[in-house]
Amino acid sequence: MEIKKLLDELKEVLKKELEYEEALARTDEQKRKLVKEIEPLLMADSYSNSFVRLQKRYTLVIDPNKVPEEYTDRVRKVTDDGRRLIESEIAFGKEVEGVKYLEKLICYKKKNGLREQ
Amino acid sequence: MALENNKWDRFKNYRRLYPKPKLSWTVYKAYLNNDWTYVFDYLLGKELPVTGPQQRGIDIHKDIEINGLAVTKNLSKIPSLEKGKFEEVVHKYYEPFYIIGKIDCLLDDCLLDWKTGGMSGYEAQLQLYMYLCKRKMGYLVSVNDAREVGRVYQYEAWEDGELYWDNRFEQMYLDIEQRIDELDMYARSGTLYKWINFNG
Repeated sequence: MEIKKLLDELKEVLKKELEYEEALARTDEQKRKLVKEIEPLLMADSYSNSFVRLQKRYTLVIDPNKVPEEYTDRVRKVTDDGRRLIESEIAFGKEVEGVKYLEKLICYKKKNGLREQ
Repeated sequence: MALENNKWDRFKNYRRLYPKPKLSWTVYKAYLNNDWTYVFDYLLGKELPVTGPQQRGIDIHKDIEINGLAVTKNLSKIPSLEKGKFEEVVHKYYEPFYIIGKIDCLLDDCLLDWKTGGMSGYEAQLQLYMYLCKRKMGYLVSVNDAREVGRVYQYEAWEDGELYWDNRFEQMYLDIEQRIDELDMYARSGTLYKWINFNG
């Protein structure tokens, strides 16, 4: 009998958890939508205020066989220094052969700023 | 005059101590690191050797002041600099000291700071400048030797910036004052000037 009582209690807790998960999924979707709307309006690579930091992240897709030799070692593997130089070139708006990049805006919340409000 | 007989009179030879101590981001950073040697080197105007990266930064800043930024597609990341005042010196006066800041580029509603090396760890500096100039927006702009714009970080001014910086600089001033008094006490024979000469 005792286990039945505890299982009922667990059921209630799980129901509550599910509600929170659904709410979280909804807010996540809203957040993604808003960030997508903000993205074209944001000129800089990063925007920071009291409650949020929006940061553009670049994921590099490098084809080691196509990038210039200065960025690779003898077996055509991109070196750490080479990668850093490629990142720098991309940051200054230049194109490097064999390198593509994906841009994504990421939203970080600042808990202190949100709690004060 | 009110300034006569003030406690800084004995430091008349030091332009950063007389008639009022001159504080800035440079001295604040050294103070945060508890680097008192640097703090006093700065206040007494001791010439410190310029490192390679510092010299590179100075050169690029001068180059931008004279020639402006290079025209690249990244220029659209920052506001137009047509009305910008380059290397603008701003002051904020308090009763016992003053704060000085050199703004790389000052616009009507925002300001920009060129960065020739790393980009992280400079938000506080930008916030201080925004407070000194009463601007609501600031930009950290990464620039290279060819005066091209790289990454751009945009910051809104802190709402409590005034309170924050007033408190921070007042505390720093009090600590400097206390340190000088202590040095005087240890030297016994008078001023910090003598103490420093004695200790090299």
